[in-house]
Formats: sequence, structure tokens, C-alpha cells
Amino acid sequence: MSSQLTEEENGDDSIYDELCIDDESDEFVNNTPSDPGLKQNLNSWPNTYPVVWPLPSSEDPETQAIPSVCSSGRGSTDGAHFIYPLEVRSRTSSLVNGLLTELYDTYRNGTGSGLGLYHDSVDSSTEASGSDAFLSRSNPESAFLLELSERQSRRHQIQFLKQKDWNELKAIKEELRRRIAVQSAKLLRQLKQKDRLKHKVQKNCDIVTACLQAVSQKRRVDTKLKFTLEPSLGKHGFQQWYDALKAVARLPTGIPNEWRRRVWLTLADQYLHSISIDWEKTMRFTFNERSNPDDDSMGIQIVKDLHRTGCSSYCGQEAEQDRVVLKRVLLAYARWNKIVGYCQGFNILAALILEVMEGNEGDALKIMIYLIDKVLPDSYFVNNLRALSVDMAVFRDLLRLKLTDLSHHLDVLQKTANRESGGGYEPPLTNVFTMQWFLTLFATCLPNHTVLKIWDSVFFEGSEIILRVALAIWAKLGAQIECCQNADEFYSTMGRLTQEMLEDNLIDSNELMQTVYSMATFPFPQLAELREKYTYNITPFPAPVRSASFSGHPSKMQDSDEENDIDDDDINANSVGCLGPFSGFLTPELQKYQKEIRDYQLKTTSLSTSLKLCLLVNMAAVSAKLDLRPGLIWWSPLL
Amino acid sequence: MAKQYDVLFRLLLIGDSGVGKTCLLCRFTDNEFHPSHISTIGVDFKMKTIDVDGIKVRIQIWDTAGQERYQTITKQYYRRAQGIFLVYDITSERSYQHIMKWASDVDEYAPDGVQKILIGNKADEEHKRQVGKHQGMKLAEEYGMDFYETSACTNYNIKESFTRLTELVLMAHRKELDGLRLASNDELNLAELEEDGRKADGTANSKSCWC
Repeated sequence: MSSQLTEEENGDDSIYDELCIDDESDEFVNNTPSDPGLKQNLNSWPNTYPVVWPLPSSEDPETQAIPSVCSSGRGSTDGAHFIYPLEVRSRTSSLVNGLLTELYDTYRNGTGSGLGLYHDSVDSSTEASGSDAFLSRSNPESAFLLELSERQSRRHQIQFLKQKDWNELKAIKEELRRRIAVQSAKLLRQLKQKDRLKHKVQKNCDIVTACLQAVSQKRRVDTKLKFTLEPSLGKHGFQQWYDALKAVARLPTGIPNEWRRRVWLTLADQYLHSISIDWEKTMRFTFNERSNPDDDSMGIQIVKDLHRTGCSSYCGQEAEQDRVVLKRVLLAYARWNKIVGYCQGFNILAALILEVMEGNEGDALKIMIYLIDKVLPDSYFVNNLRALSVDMAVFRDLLRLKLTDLSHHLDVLQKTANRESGGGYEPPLTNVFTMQWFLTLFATCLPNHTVLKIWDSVFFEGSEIILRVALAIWAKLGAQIECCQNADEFYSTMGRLTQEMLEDNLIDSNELMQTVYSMATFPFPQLAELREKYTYNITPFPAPVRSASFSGHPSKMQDSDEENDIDDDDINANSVGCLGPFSGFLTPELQKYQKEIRDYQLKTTSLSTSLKLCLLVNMAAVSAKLDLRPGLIWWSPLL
Repeated sequence: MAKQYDVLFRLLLIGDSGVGKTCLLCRFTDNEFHPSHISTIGVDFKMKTIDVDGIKVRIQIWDTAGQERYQTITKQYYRRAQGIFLVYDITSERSYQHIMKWASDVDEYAPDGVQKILIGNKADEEHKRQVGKHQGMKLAEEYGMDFYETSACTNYNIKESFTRLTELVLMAHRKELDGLRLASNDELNLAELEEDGRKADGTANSKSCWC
């Protein structure tokens, strides 16, 4: 048997390698396994077994279906005349028993489960014709097998067999042997098929690896890229997979839609594993049907927002079930992370995540956790959205660095608006847009396919992608914005452009992502320092207690952020220079502020009395903090 | 560049989450009503130019997220507002009670002389009403505000309330404008005013927001 196989193994592999798996009914059979493991298995097959290999490739179903043991003509031993050694015989009988059971099952279930494999197999035409013929053949032995299978208990079967004479039994044995041969051949084919497909997958992975390396920057680490569909086991398995998929995400085509769910889940699972989460337990707790005492306030807000995701699938009567799932996911996250709870905008994030996760709430929760707890900066959605304020300030600095002209133009418009409104305060013009972009990770401003690409990238590269995408968008819109003569015109233009971005593919996703990857090296230079700077600058004191109550105005936050905005507005050139920690930061900045104040005073002599009064009140409120908060000294001469 | 309007004002919508601020706005600017409008994230805006007593008034209406944690961010937009809608939902007692808190925020963060108006929205949902009309009127009286019950759904009192607030802002700024004229310490504006004298009281000065 094994020799028989090896004989057949000398086919030209390279030819078959070129063959597609969907056209290999015969070729496949002839193509031999190069897997030593499989060969080993074949060798261990009782070699007295006259398995016919390969099946005759004739078109005649009869020939195919009833391969004759004796006519195989391939040097196989004619089992009929072979005397079995005892141990082989017992082993054979157990095999026979097993196969018989399977055949009976098959017969009982029509063409069902036992032989179900056939119908899944690629070369089902051959298999189907074979098995049909096999089961419907009307020779006496078949009839006998049929009868035998009708006898349910073993005892009945034995009795039935006892009634047969020697010749009959011999014929039956032959029939069984033949059938076993057929089944063995089929099993082998399945195994080889599996082996071949595995090989094919491996080969395709190798091709992807080669492509990735070809387009990589050819650094030393790039030569270690190795693409696999799933992380392989072992210490470096995940990292290897991660690096390769990250490279795939950077390709113009990005992560294929079909992979996205699995890729995101693999990332989330790895994170949950890294923090040693008992997921079963978490699921039980977070998706608990009974409501928790602290669900109430969150629940009310969640219910208010369920139909307001911007996703049509969550509106209307028929979407009731979808809304229920969305609510469960949002509530589950709020229970998981009580500090963050529910923030408006999560409804939008969760709706998109559920879409990618095909409505699986547990999987969606994993992604929510990974995104909010791990990928995005801490406090993005809590603590008065402190980290978001930081990122908005950081973003304006990056805009100044990367798109100097546009940034300058926007500054001018803002200052003009401030002056014309006689001291009214115009927040930085980009804020209203970047805030939405950052909070919903662009889900409300770009078409879905682009958003998903961005999210893939965010998952692999981190939250700096958000800033990069925002920069790329402003760069794209820059020309139209630079035509705007005043803040009102800017807002009108942006109102129109945001609509176009969402609906009319104003932004090409490939172009966008290429800009995102090429605008700066990774990690974004100075980003960490800028984030640190503004984290300290914006909120020298977190205001947890006051911000928690509705009426307690988080005025510290408010003032400090404004201070930052003004600061940011007025120290263009210095904004990057003063990145260092606070040593040496205070004195020059103070001098600078004071100079600016004098300038500002000259400019604002026309401030109406009411505004001055208003400022005085504000100043009185914050003057107590002046010693600790250098930025506020900006205002002091007005007192 | 030719000016499409005579004067620009910024109005602001505040109130609890889900009282219908965005719906009011959409009804007013686009005459559309989407009950499932996406929840406002942070701050949003819409524009409209309306005619008040022959003056083309450009209004930028700023819409805010109602959730508490957004308030630090939305408050930055108070200081530039000349008119503020305080909105509650007549089917939610809670949102009505919170008006007090919103009003004190306005006192703290909005400029003096800001015009305010109280809105009880969702007037079409009479069967679910929790806040009587008289309660709204009483509260408005306490604060010295005008009061409207509105329905974005049935387009009831929408245009009226927006126009009213715009008028109030316009009136307030006329007074201030006169005061400034007397003081005549703003040469630039004065020059423009004289140039634009055909408009009553010089309110035609575009883009200027006299606060």
C-alpha cells in the first residue's frame, strides 16, 4: 500500500501547485502528499489492506464507484487470498466495525451526516456519483447489508449472520472489503485535500509576506515580517502577527473587510488576556439581566440616545431588536468601566462596532473595552473630557507645525472675530469640528468604509492616527478655507464641506490614509511632549468633586482651558519651544504674557464697560488661584 | 466681498439632553424634523439669515450636547452668545427643574446683557405632559424671560420663538449701539455707521456684535 502510494507520488508537484483548488478532482488525487506526517499515517495503515489508490479516473461512474480490488493492476496484494496475522485481523475487525457503523448511519440518514464530507468536498461530483452508486447498487450483498442494517441490536445482527452459508459470507466479506477500500480512498482524499489547502494557505501567506517585505522600508525589523492569518502559538506569535497585520493595514487596500472582525477580536482578546480577565465572568456580570443599582442614571441617557446613532438601522419600529442589543452593549460597557460609564457618542461608536461584529454583543463589548480603555488616551470621555481637550490643544499645535499657512489664517480669523465682537470670546475655529471627529473617531463625518480604515489604523498604530487624520483632512480642505474672509464665512464653508465629506466622497480614503502614513515618522515627533505639556497646562488641578455635581461648575477646568486657548493663540512661535517641564518655563512665559497684556490693553480700549465688569467678576473668582496658575496672570493688569 | 447680511448674531441652545434642541434647530433652519437625529456630540451649529424689520440678520445658532460631562467644553461657547434659548421638555419634569441650573450657568459664563428666552418643547405630546404651561410662564417671569411652548414635530411656535429672540438681541444691541455712538470712542465703527447711515440706527454694521 505505501509503496503503491509512493509510486504515485512522483507527479510533478510544480504543475499541481499552479492548479487552482477548485479544479482538482483528478489532479488532486494524483498529486501526492509531500507531508511526511501523512506518509507516516499511510505507512501505518495495515498494509494488507487492498486500498485502491488512486481511484480510476475514468468518466464511467460505475468503474469509479466499484473499483475492483483485483483489477487495480498496481501491484496491490489481493486481500482475498491473504491470510491475516491474528493481531492485524482484530485491528481490521475494529476498523471494519467502525466503518460499518458509519455506513449504517449514512444509510439511515439518507445521504446524510456520516458521508456529509463528500458533499462539502471540492470534487463533489466524483464523490457524489460514487456514493450514490455505492448505496443504491442492487447486488445481493448490498441487499444483505441493507437487511443487516435494519437489525438494530448486535445480537440480531449476529443471528442474521449465522443464518448465512460460507459462500454467502465470503461474498459479503468481499463486498465489505471493497466498500472499505472505497471509503479509505475517500478518507485519504479528504486528508490530502486538507493538507493541500493548508499548504495553499501557507503559500498564500508566504506570498503576502513577500509582498509586505517588498513594500516595506527594508529595515532590519522588516525582514522579520512574517504574515499569518492568526497569531501562532509561542512567545512571539502575537507580535509577529501584529507586525504583519499592521503592515497590511498600511497597504493601500488596507485590511480586507472579511478579516476585520477577526483582526479586531484578536487584538481585543490579546488585551483582555494581558490584563488577565476572566471573560466568562465578565460577560455574566456585564450582560446581567437584572439591573444594577447604578444603572439608572446611565440607563436613562443611553435610552435617550439609542435611536440617535445616525445609523438608519437603529431607527424605526423594526429596529427594536437592534436597539435592544445596542443598549445591552452600552450598558455592559458602563458596568465594566464605572468611571467612564456612558458618554454621548458611545452610541455611535458601539453601533459601528456592532455592525463589524455582526451583532454579537459580547464581541462588541470586547472591542469597546479595547478601544476606550486601551487605545484611546485615558480620560478621553471622562473628567470633563479632559484628555480630549488636551488633544484639541495639541492638535492646534500640530496644525501650526504642519500647515502653517492655514493655521495662521485661522488665527487671524479668530482674532478678528474676537475683536469685532468687542471682547466676546471666539474659541479656536477648528475646535467645533475636531471635537466631533475625535469623539466619534470620524464616524459622523466620513463615509463608513473610510471610517473603518481609519479605525483599523487606530487599532494598530494608536491614537495618534486620529490627530494625523484630522491634519490630513484640514490639509485637504485648506485651499477652500483660505478663501474665507471671516469666521462666519469659515463656519458656513465648513458646514457645506462637512456635508460633502460625509455624503459625496470629497475625501478619497486611499489618498487620505497615504497622507496619514507619510506625513511624519511614527511615533509622531513631539506628540508625547505636547500631550504631556497640555495635560499639565490645561488641568493643573483636576476638579473631580465639583465637576461631578450638576450645579457645581467646573470653573477651574473652564478657565484653564480657555487660558490654554488664549495662550495657545498667542504664543505661536514658542509653543513648541517651551515643551520642557516647568523648570525655566515660568519666567520667560510670564514676561511674555505681561508684554502681550500690554499690547492687548492697547487694542481693547474700546471694551464696553459691561465686559470689563464681567471680566472683573471672573477675575475675582479666580484670583485666589493666581499664584499657582501662571497663565492667569495674563489677565491681571485688567484688575 | 458683497455682504449677504446686515448684522450677525450668535444664538445658543442649551438644556438637558434629549429635550429637542437639535430638532428645534433643524425645524427652524431647514424646516425638517428627524426624531432620530444623531445626538449632538460636543457643539454643532447652523446658520440662517432672516429679515427683521427690514434688516437682514444673519444668525449663527449653536447647538450643544446636553450631557453633563460635555459642559466644560460647551461653556466655552457661552461667552460669545448674544441670545440664549433655555430649553426644557414639557414631558420631563426633571428637564424643567434643571432650567434653574442652566440659568445660573448662563449668569456665570455668558456675557452681561445676553438675551434669554425659555422654551418648553414637545408641546405636541400633550398626553405625556408633566410640566404645565403655567409653570413655564411662572419660571420665565421669575427670570424675566419670554416664554414659548413649541413643537418641532408640528412646527408650532418655532419661527415665532427664533424671531422673537433675534428681535430681543437686535433691540438690546440698538441701545448699546446708541450708547457707543455717544461715547464715540470707536472710530472705525463710527465711520462705518455713518457710511451705512441708510439703515435705521446704524444696525447695519455687518458682522459686528455689540456686547
